[in-house]
This record gives sequence, structure tokens and C-alpha cells, in this order.
Amino acid sequence: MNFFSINFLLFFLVVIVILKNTKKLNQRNIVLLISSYIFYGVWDIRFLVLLFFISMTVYVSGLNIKNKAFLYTGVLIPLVSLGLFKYFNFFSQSFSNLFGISDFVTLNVVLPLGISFYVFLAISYILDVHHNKIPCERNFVNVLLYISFFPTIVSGPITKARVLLPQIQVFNPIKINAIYIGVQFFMLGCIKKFVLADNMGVLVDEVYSAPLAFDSLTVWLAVISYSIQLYLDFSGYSDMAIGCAKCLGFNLTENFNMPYLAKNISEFWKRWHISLSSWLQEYLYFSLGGSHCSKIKTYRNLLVTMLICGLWHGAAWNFILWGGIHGIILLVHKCYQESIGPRINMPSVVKVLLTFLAVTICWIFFRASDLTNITQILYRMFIFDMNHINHMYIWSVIGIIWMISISIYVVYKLDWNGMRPVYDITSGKGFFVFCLELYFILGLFYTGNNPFVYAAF
Amino acid sequence: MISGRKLFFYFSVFVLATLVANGICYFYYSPAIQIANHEKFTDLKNITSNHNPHGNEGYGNITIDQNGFNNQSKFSIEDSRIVCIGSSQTEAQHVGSNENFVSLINQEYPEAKAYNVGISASTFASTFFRITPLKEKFPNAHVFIFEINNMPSLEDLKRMEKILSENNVPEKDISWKNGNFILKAMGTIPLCRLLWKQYDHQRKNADSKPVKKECFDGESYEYYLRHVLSLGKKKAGNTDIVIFYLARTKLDKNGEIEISEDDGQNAIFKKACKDIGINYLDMAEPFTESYRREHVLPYGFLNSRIGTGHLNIYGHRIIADSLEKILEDGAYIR
Repeated sequence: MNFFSINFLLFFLVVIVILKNTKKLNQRNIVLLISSYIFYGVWDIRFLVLLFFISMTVYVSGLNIKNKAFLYTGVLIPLVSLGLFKYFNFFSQSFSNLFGISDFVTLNVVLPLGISFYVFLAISYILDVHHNKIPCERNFVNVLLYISFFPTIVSGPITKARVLLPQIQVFNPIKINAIYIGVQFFMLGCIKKFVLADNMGVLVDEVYSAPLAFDSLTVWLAVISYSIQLYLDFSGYSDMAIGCAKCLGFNLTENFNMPYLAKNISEFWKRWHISLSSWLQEYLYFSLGGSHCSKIKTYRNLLVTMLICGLWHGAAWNFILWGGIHGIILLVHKCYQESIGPRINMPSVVKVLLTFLAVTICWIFFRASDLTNITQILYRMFIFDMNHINHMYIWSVIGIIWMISISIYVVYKLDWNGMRPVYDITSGKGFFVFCLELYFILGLFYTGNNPFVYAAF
Repeated sequence: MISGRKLFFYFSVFVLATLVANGICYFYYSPAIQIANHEKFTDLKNITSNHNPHGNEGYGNITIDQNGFNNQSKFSIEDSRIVCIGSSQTEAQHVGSNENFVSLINQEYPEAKAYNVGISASTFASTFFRITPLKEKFPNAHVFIFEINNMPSLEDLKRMEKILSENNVPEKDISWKNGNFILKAMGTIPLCRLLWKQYDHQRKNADSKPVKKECFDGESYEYYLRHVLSLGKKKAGNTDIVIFYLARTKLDKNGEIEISEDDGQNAIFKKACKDIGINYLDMAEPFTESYRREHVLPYGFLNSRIGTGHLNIYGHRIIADSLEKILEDGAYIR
């Protein structure tokens, strides 16, 4: 069920009305669980089997967490499922290509939607229980709901067990003020995703499908557009998810904190896809030893974490390459900070621009279809050639202006929450703005087919 | 519970916001409104207006003349010597009134007296059988120029042949005119029209399934096409016919321009037109040529997908140049 559809609107209204009339915690959680399974099952009912199986595994493992076998089972079964569904064919094909085997084994399976997200939720639960950050959950419904909670199941935010489970364990009645705020978050997400990101995606798709047809300026515009499109697409989705959860009485982890205002690559990863980077930091990087070991080992840990981060995004070499390049840039930045960094006084604007440039160039590896495509784009960007199609696409310009305006606003207000202006919807002025916002979305949303970028992961 | 007074307050604010949104829409998207053409020489015509902005694909703000078409010509409609009939591509709501190919021909050759009767949503299959009413409306026309945007199907040709043989040209009705107030709003109020268009596009995209290609019967197609063209030519009498085909372009991954393939209708048209004595202009070559020379694509705008959709100013320029050549050769213009 797509967030931006009449089906979802009706579904959500029904859920809200039912929840408004529930008085007990158990009732509320059962309603939410059934809603979540309906929401997810509408895509493909078969996906529910795997979701239930993983939830049940972590529930049983959680109950017996003292036993090492259960701990390993609770971590490995979700990981093996992810590996089978998402990575098996990729590694099988890569291995066969490497050794020239023509007759390689592939699995004929459909990749379950959002599997990378809910597998990480499941592991987060097991490890939080193992590390005594939360007590094990004895109520099966609560564990099922934590993993399948419908606002987050498709594309996150990957809310850690110790953040979401306590909210599931407490009865919060539906509050009208929370709905007013949630609806505004949702609408802001719609503007970001369906009006700006999707319309910007038109130029990006054109240029990435035939980079040599366009002149250097247009390719630069498309490459920058992709940076902004990806941010608006994913942060738009996160706003919608956070908005939906708010209406239901839940507070989810924030996923973005103006990432393109980061002054270095390390800061970028603290601002971009926060729920994933903090998950990787806590459950992978620290488990490997983090930075509390020798320099070489710290660098290794960083590189391994970033390679896995790349692989998490997709079963393809370009994602691994993208993760690897980010890892190398992080290493270079760490070395720089430990050597000459403190002695060089660079204006903040230059730092922000350099970081944005580095991240933007890295996104080429993320978006391109193959190595030839990457080479063509880089060639056209850096071998300046204006003797091709020039297409100064207006939506890209609008997106860039939006991004710059928001950044300036945030810098001067020193409040990144300014990105989500909340007004009093019950006042005449607030309701007027709300109606105009609604018309703006309905009148300008992109009508082509452009799914959430991160839903593919 | 919300009191009745509060409800009235919110309703008033909603109406005010709707009026403001409609006001904005009036300058962004308020294309010409179509009505029935009782003279039947086109599918429909437009309501006369000099404010018809079309902002979601390019930005044109055309003037609809007193006859209901996109023209800025000063001559009387009956004095037209060249009549251009076609779809939204010919009507050209997406570019300025003086930037479409008919205007460009008139600017280059004022004595040509070219008149544009292009209408959105018309097709070759819905216009070619209207030659008799066209002759009545344009008695002094030397040439009728028909646009083909989508190739007619075999079924279309059979229907066209029947109409031409029976000389029974149907009048097309416009759905909003006779509908209820919701339909009327959808057809006339800018905000409603924009929202309806968005909904309709979204619905069509969601419903679009890969079309199962039916086996193309070239022989029957050629047979009916020759019949239709011969009948049309006969009914046109001393007025010549020019048909131009708007080939669809696309870019391959190496940046080269490609012409979208059809089932072979284009080749059949070319041959049939040549045999019957109708000028046939395939725009594939001029489009390809101008891309290779100037790196411009005939379709698409700065706010839409490049290479698809409606003709942009370059596309109109290329068509005007190509048609001018044919018109010069045929001594319709000097």
C-alpha cells in the first residue's frame, strides 16, 4: 500500500477511528498489529510468512537470550534470510563470473519489500536484550508489532528496540493535537517526495540513461539534482513515517539532520540516514572494536562498516564500491584530522561545499547502472564539453533553490527543526495554509511512476 | 464536538483557500476550453479567449480567435489558402501563439495565409474524413495539411472509409457541456481542470500494462489506407493534400538519436501517398538532421521530459522549414 494513495488514506482513517475507540493497551496493539500485517500483506501476501517467521525467531531467542545458541540463532536467522533473499543470486553470479563457471545456481525468489529494514529491527531487539539495554519482551504481540509497525516497515526509520518497544508497552490514547502535527509532517513529506523529488528525478533518469547525449553543464545539474532528489525522497518518506507514527501516538527516531550542511564526511554520516548509521555504529563498528584499538584496526573497522553499509543498500558492485569510497574518504578525513587538520583554518562555507561535492560525486556510484555508466558521467563532468543537449530543467533548479533556502534558514535560525514548520491548524490562518498546501501537492505532484528510492533496499 | 459556527468558519476558510488556489491556477494552467463544432470541419473547437496559459509542459499562453482556433492571422478564415489540421501538436498550446509552425509559415510568407485548425485530442483518424466540411469552410484553400501524430489502426481506417463513402461526417460532442455541475466544473474551472488532469494522468499510469502486440496485417492495412486516401483526394478536388508524420524520437545510451519504430505503417503511408498523388512528409529525417547539427530535440520542455511529449519551439521551427520547402516546390507560396 503506497503512502500516497486513496487506499492508504482510507486505511489510515479506519485505523485512527478504531484506535480512538480502544481503551486498553492489548486492544490497541492487536489493532496496530493487524493493520501492519494488512498494510504489508497488500504488496504480496507471501511476504508475511517471512516477516512472521523472523519475528517468531527473535521472540523465542529473546526469551532464552542467556543461552548462547539462542542468541546466535536470533541474530543469524534474520541475517541468513536477508542473505538468501537479497544477496544469494548476486554472490553466486559474481563467484561464477570470477571463476568462469557458466552454470551457476540462482534462486527464483522475489525480494520481500523492506527486508533490510525489518531484519535490522529484529537484530536490534536481540542485541539490546543481550546487552541488557531492555528486558526481554514476553508479550508476543509486542514483538510482532515492533518488527512490523506499518509506518516504518518499508523504509524505516530503523527505530531501535529500546526506543520503540517501551512505547509499544505503554498505552497512549490518540490525541487530536498529535494528529494535527502528524498530518503536517506527512504533508511536508508529500511535498518533498511527490512534488520535488519525483519531478527532479525526470532529469536524473534522462541523464543517467544517456549521459553522452548531454553537455557538461546538464550532467553537473543532473548529478547535483540526484543528491538533492535522494535527500528529498528519503527524508520525505521519513517525514511521512514519523507523521503517521505521531498520529498513532508514537515518536520515531529522526533520520536526517540537514546532511548537506555537514562540514566533513564524518559529520555527514551523523546527519544522513541517522537510524542506519547509528545502527551500524552501535551493532557493527563497536562490535568490531570501534576506535578503541590500534590505528590500523580502527581503520579496518571503519572500512568494513562502510563496505557493509554499501552492501546493505543493494546487491550490486556499485553499492559496495560506493561504501568503499566513503570508507576511504572517512579514513583520509581521520588521518587529516589527526595530522594537519587542526592547524588549517578553513571557512565553514568552504568545508560544507567540499563535503557536498565529495558526497555528490560518491552518489554517482550509487545511482549509475554499471561501471561504463559511471565512467561516462565522470568523463562528461570533468572533460568540459558544451556541444551536446543543454537542458536546464526547471524542477532541478527549483529543488536546488529549495535546498539552499532551507539551509540558509536553518543556519540563521540554528534550529534544524525549522525544516518542519508546525502551525496551529485550528486557527483560521493555519487552516488556510493547510488547504493551500493540500492544493499545492495535488496540483503539482509527479504523475509518472517513481517509487521510493529506499523502498528498493 | 465542533459547533455549527466553527464548522461554518472552517468552510469559509476552505472556500477562500480554494479561490486563492484557483486564482494561482488561472495563471498556471487554464488551457483553452473546448466546445462542439457544429460545422464539423474539426472534431471540436475552443471558446474564444486571449488568456489560455498552459504551464505544466512548457509555458504557452495562446490566443483563441473568434472562430475557436489558435491563430493570430489578420485575414478572414474563408480567405485561407493553407489549412493545417491536426492534434494538440498542431494546435500548439505549449508554445507562444507566434511560435507554432503555422505562425512561422505566415511570418515567413505572409501571402501563404496559413490557418491553424489543430485541436487537442484530435487524431488523423478523427480529422481526415472531414474533408467535405473543410472544403465548405475553406473554399479558397489550395492545400490541406494533415498531421499524423499517432498512426491510425486498421479499425480506424475501416471506420474512416465508411464515413468517407457514406459522406456522413459525425459531430463530436463534448462531455462536460451536457453533464452535471461536477463535469462542468471539471471542464471549465482552472483548479478543477488541473486536479482532474493530475488524477487522470496518475490513473492512466497506474493502469498502464504492457500492450499485447497484435499481429499487424500489412496487406489489409495498405488496402484500406489506399481506399481512404483515394476517397479523401477525390473529395478534396482541386485542393491538394499534404500529410506530415511526426516521428517519435528517443536517445540511445550513447547519446545518438533514434526514431521509434512502428509496425511498418509509415512505409505503407509513404508508398500509398506517392502512388495517389499526396505529398507525404516524414519528419524523422529533419528531426534527426537537426539533432545532429544543433543538438536540439523536437519534443519536450524545460519543465518536462526532454524528447517526449509535445513539440517545443525547435520542433515547430523544423516542421515550418520542412513544410515551407514542400509548399515552395508545389508553388503554394513564393
